[in-house]
Amino acid sequence: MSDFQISPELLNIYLEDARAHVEALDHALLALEREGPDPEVVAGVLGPLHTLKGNSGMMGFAGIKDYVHRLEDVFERIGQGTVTFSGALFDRLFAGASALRDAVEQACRQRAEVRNLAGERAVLDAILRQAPEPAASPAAPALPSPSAPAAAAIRAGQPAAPPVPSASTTAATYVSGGSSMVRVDFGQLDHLLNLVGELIIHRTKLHELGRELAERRGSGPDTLELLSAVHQVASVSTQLQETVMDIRMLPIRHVFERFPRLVRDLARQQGKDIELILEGESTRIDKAIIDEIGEPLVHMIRNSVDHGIETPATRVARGKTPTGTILLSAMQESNHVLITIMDDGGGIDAGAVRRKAVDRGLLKPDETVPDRELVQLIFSQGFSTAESVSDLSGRGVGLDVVLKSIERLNGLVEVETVPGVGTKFIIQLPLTLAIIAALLVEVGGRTYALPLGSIVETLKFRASDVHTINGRETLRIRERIVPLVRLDAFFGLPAPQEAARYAVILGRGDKRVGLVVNRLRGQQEVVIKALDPAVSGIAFALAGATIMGDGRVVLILDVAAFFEGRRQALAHGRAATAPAGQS
Amino acid sequence: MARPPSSRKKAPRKKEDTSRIVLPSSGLAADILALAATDDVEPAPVPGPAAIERRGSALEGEAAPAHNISFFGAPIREERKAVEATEHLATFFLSGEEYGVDVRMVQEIIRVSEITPVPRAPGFIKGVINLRGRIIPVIDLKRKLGLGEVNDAARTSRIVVVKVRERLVGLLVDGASQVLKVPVASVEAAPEEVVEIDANYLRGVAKLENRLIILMDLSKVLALELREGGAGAE
Amino acid sequence: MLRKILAVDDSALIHQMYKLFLSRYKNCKLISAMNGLEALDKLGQEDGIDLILLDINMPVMNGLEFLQRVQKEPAYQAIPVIIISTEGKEEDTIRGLKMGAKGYVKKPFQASELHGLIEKITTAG
Repeated sequence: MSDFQISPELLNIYLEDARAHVEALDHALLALEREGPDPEVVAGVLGPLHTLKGNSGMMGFAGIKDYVHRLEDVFERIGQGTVTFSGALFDRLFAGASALRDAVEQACRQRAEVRNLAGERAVLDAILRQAPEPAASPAAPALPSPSAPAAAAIRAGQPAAPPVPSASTTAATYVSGGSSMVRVDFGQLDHLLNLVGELIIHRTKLHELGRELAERRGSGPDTLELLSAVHQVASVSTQLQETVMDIRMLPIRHVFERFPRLVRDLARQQGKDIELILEGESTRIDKAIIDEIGEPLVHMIRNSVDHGIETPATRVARGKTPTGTILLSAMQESNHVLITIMDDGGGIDAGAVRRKAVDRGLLKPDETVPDRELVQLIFSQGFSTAESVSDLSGRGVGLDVVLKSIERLNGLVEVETVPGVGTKFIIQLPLTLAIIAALLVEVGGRTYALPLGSIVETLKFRASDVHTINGRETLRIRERIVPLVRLDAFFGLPAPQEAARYAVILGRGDKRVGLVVNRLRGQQEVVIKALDPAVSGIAFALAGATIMGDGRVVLILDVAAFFEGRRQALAHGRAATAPAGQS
Repeated sequence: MARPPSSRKKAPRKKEDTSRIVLPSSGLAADILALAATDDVEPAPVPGPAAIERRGSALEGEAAPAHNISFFGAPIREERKAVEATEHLATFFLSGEEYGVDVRMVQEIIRVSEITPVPRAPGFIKGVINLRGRIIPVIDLKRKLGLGEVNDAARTSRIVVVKVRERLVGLLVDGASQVLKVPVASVEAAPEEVVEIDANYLRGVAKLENRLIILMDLSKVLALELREGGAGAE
Repeated sequence: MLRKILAVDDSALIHQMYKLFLSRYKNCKLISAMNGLEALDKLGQEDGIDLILLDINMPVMNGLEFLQRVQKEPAYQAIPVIIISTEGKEEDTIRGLKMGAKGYVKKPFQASELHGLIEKITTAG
C-alpha cells in the first residue's frame, strides 16, 4: 500500500519504543485490574499511549494510530471514573492490548500495516458508548490528580491560567526516557567492546616489549619511563574494559516484566488461579543474554502453568491453597547468575517419566536410574509426559529446545521435584558472553580456545593409560572413568606427527569428558566475536572466534557439543564410538 | 475534561466547527489567530458518543495516507532514474572469465591473508578471516558455483568483501579486475553456451568492445548463506 | 541563516526523523532535548539557536510551560518557535500560538511541509 521506504534504523527505534509502550499498557491494565481505579496509573499510561500514537502516525501506520487514540479516550474515561470495572471489561482490554502488540510487530515485519484493528476498535467504541459522559462539573474533581501533565490541566477549562508546572511524580514514570539517559545502539556498544578488546591485546604486547627492552638495556631512566607509561595504559584500559562490560549489563527486569501478563492469561485460559512472584529483578546480566533467555523462560513458565499447577479443585482436594504460586527469581552468585522457576504444583511423576523413557527407547526396561537423574530426561528430544498436547505449550516445543537455547548461552539447567509438592528449575548463566578466560590448545597444527570455566583439569597421559570400553576410549582419573574425544579425529584434521599426550578434562555438573590435544598453549582472556550465522549454522562445536595479538583468528570451541555425544550414549544404553554426528 | 455547560452556547464561527477545532495540517500563527480573533478559543468539548462517530467518519473520509513520508519516496525515485542509464560494476575473474557484481555491494577487495579453516564446514567455505576486528566467512566462489577451486596461494587471488543484507562475506576469486560503468543498453540475457553456471545466479551479460562481463546476482548466489542460521542449522 | 535548530520531543523516533529531514537542510546543526527542562538547559549551553521545534506533551516539563518560560527571557524571546501539533490537542496548539509561537505543523508531517513552514517563518523574520 505504501510506496515509501522506511529505513530499518527508524523501524527499530519505533519498534523498541512501541514495545515498551504496549508493555506499559499491559502493566497499567494489570494494576487497574488488581487494585481498582487509580488516577496515577491512568496518568502514567496516557503519556506512553500519546507518544505511541504520534510515532505510529509518523511511520504511516494510520490504523494503529487511530486505535491508540481510542485507547487514550478509554483511559481518560477510566480516569474520570465513568467506566464500570468488570472481569469482562479487562478481558476485552487485554485482548485489545495483545491485538495492538500484534499489529505493531506485524507492521514492523512487513513495513506496512497488515493487521486490521477495526474489530478491536469497535470494542473500544462500545466501551466508550457505555461509559456515560462525565457530569458537567468544574475541572478539579474529575481530573486526574494534580500530578498529571499540565496539558490536561489546561484542557480542563482554565483557559486564562498559566500552565501548572507538572509535579515531579509524573517524572518517575518516565525516568528511563528522561534526560539522564542516552540511547545507544547495541551494535555500537559491541563495536566499542571490540575496540577495547583489541586495545587490551595491544597493551599486552606493549607490556612484553617493555620488559624485553628492560632486559636488554637495563633499567635506565628511559626504560623506567616506558614501563611506567605502559603500566598506566594497562590500568586505564582495564578500567575501560570493565566500564564497557558494565554498560552492557542490564537488570533482568527487562525480561521478567512480561511474565505477569503471560501467567495471568494462561491461568485464566485454563481455569487456574496462579500468583506469580518475582524476585531479584534488579539482578544484572549481559544484554546479549537477556535477548536470548526470554524465550526459554517463557516455555518453562508455560510448563509450570500447564503441567505444574493444578486446578483449584484438585489443589483443595490435596489440601493446598486454591491459588497456586510460581516464584521466578534471579540471583548473582560469584561469576554467574542463577534463575529459578519454582512452583508449588504437583511435581513431576518419576514413574511417568520412566515409562515414557522406556517407551521411547531412551531407557532399557531393567535399567535402574535414581529418580533424581531420571527427571533430567525430561529435557530429552521430543519428550513430553502430558497426556494431551495442549497447544498452550506449543506443539513440539519441548524442554529439549529450552535446553539447547540455554546451552547456547554457555548455561546449565537442572530440575528438582517432589511429587505432590512442587517443581524447581534452576538455570545457571554466565554473567556475560563477551569476554571469557580461555585455555589455548593446539590440535592438528592449529590453535583453538576452550572456555576456562568448563575445564576441570588438564593432564598428561601415556598411551598405556587409555582403556577402550565398549569401543570408546577412556581414561581412568582417580576413581572415575572419563570418556575421551580425540579432537583431531573429531574435526577431521590430519593425525599429528607426535602422539597426542594431553587431555583437557571438561566438566558439566556431574559429567566429564576428556579432549585429547597435542599441546597446551596457556591461558588468556579473549574477546568472543560472533561467527556469521552462515558459518555457525553449518559448523559444528564452535561457540565463536577470537582474534589474537598478531591478528590471527582462533576458533572457540563449544563445550556442550562434546557432552551431547555423552547424553546420547546414556539415552541409547550403549557407548557411542564417536560423538554422535549432528550434521 | 468536563466543561462548564455555558461554554457550549457560542454560535459557530465561520470556518470553525465548535464541536471540533479543525486545523489545517500546518500554518502560521498570524493566519490561525486571525480566524480565532474575537474571543478566547473554545477548548474542544468532551467527545460524546455522537462526536466519536463523527470523528470516526472524519477519519475515514480523510484521504488515504496523505501523510506519506515523502522524503524517503523522492530519493529512491531519483536514484532509480540514475541507475537506469548505467550499471556500476565491480568485476573479477573466475577461471579466466570475467564476472561483474553491483559495485554498491562491494565493500573492498583485499589480498588473501591467513584464512582460518573451519572444521567440518562444507567445502566451499574456505574459513574465516580477521577484517579489522570483524570475523567474516570466506567463500571459495569457484567451489560454490561448481567451477573448480580457487588457489588461495596464487599471487593474483583476491578476497572480494561484499555486504549483502547487512552481513559481510568474503568471496575468494582468482583475480580482481576493475570498477566500471556499463551502459544498460549493452546488457543482454546470458546466452546458454557461454555460461557454465546455474542461470539462476546470473542477471545477464554485458557485451563490451572486446570483452564479455557476466553479471552475477549475489543475493541469489548467497541465498542459502544469508538465511538466518545458514543452511543446515541444527 | 539557519545555524542551529533545537528540537524538543520525548520520542526518540521523532528525533531520528528530524535528523533525516533536517540534517541536509541548509547546513544546520540539530540539537535535541527530550523535555522542556532539558530544552531550557540546551538553550543555556548552546549559542545561536535560530529555531525551536516544540512538542507539547512531554514529561518533566511540557511544551507550554517551556514556552511560557522562554517568552519571559529577553535572550530567548525572539527565537521563532514551531509547535508540533497532534490530533486531538488542537487547543494546546492554539494556546501555544497565542503565547507567541510562530507556526505549527501537525503530526504526521512530511519533510516538505516542515521545510516549507520553516522557510516562511524564517524569511518573514
